[in-house]
Amino acid sequence: MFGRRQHLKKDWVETPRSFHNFLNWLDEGVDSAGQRYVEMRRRLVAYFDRKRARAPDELADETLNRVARRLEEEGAITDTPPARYCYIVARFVFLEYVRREPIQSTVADFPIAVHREPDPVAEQRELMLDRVDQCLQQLDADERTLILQYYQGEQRTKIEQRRKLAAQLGLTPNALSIRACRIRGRLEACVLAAERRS
Amino acid sequence: MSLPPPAPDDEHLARYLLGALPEDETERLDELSIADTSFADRLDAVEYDLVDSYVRGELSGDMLAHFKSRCRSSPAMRDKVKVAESLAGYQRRSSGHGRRAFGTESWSRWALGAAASLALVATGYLTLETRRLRTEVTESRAASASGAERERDLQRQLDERRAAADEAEQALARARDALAQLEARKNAPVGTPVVAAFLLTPARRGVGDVTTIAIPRGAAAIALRMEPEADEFARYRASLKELASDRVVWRSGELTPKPSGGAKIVEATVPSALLTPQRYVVELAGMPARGAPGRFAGSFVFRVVAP
Repeated sequence: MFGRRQHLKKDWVETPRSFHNFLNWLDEGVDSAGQRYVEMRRRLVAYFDRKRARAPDELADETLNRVARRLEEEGAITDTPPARYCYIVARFVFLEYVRREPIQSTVADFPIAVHREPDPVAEQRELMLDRVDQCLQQLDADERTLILQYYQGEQRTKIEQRRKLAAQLGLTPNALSIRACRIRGRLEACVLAAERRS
Repeated sequence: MSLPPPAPDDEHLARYLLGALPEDETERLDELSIADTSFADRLDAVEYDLVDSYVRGELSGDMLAHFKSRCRSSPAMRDKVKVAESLAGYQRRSSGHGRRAFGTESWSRWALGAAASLALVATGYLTLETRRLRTEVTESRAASASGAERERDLQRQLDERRAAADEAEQALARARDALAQLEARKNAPVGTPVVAAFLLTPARRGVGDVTTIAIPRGAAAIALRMEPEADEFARYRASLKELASDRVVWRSGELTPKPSGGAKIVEATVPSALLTPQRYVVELAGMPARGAPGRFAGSFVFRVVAP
C-alpha cells in the first residue's frame, strides 16, 4: 500500500470533487453529512495531542489532506478501512514531525504550575460557574439531567450510581457512557467558546 | 491461531491516556483510538473520569505525576481540567442552594415522563421554576432589610430562568428544524453530498458587507469562493478561523485558482458540520514554491446563521 508512495503526484491540488470523494469514502456508503469527517479530525487531534505534538490540529489537517490526495490519485482505496488508513497516514505524519521538531518532554522540564486548586479569583470562578450554567441551559432538559447525574459523586460510589441510572433509562452501561460523553463534549465546547468570547 | 488480547480495563486506558504504557502497547492502542469507534468512545469516557478524579483529588503517586505532566504539555487537557472544575463547582453550588429538580427521587418520575416531548418538559419545568422564584422574591421583599442580599440572588435566578425558558422554546423550534433536516437528508441519494457555494468578499470592505451564509438543509459541505487580493500565485492554502476566538477549525490542502470573468477564483470546500452560527474568517495564503512559507493573499469574513 505505502510501497508506492514515490508515485504520489507532487503537484496535486485539492478540488471540490476530490473533497466530495473523500467525504464519501469516509462515510463508507452511509451519508453522515460530514460528521464522520469531523469525528475523524477530532480523533486525530486527540492522537497528536497525546503524542505531545505542539500543534495537534495542524497535524490532523495535514493527515486528512494527505489521505484525500492519496484517494484522488489512486481513484479508490479498498484494501484498508478508511479509519485504519487515516491512522496509518497519521503515524507517518507524526514520524516526520518528530524528525523535524523535538517532542515536548515530560515532568521536570515544565515548571509551569497547573491549577490544581480552583481559580483563586472568586469573580472569575463565579464567571465560569455562570458559563457552565448557561451552557447547561442550552442542553435539552433530559440531557442536562443526565449529565448532572452521571458525573456526580466520588469514584467509589459512581459505578453503582451509574448502574442504577442506566437501569432507570433502559440503557446498557456502555450506551449510557457514550451518551454522557457526547453531552459532556458539547458542554465543554460551549463553556470554552463562551470563555474565548468574553 | 492466537486469541485477541483481552479488552483493557479503565486503569489501563487511563495509563495509556497519560503516556504511561510501554511503546508497543501504546502503538496498539493508538491504532484502536483512531480506527475503532467503540474503543474511541470508551477512551473519551475514561478521559473524562480521569480528569474528574484529578479535580476531586483522587489521583496519587505516579498517576498524579503523569497527569500533571500531561497537563503541562497539553492546552487541551488544561481546558478539560478547567471545565471539570467548573462543573464540579456548579454541582456543589446547585446542591448548596437546595435545588431539588435534579434529585435522584424525582429523576425516575421525570425520565419516564420526558419521553413524550423533552423540550416541552424543559419549558414546563422552567416556567414552574420561574413562578416559584417569583413567589420567593415577593416573600423576600416582605422580609427584613437583612434579606436584601437574598432577594438580589433570587432576582438573578429569576432572570436566568426567564432566559432559560426562552431558550427552551427556541430549542424546541431548533429540534423541529433538525427533524426536517434529517428528513431532507434521508431523501437525498446516498454517496452524493450536497454542496452549496458562496462567494466571499474581502474583509477590508467593511462589516456591512460581510457575507451571511445560511447553510441549506442537507448540505454536507459548502464551497467558499474567494477572489485573492494577491493573484500571482499558482496555488493557495486556506485556513478557516472562528473570528471571536481566532481558533483555526479547518485547513485546506493546496488549491488551484480558476479563471472566472477575468478574475481568479479560489474555491475551498468545507464540511458544513464544522460550522455553527457565528462569524468566521478565511485566511488565504499564496504558496510561492514548494516548501516555502505561504504569503498573505486575502482575508474573507463571513457569518453563519441558522437556516
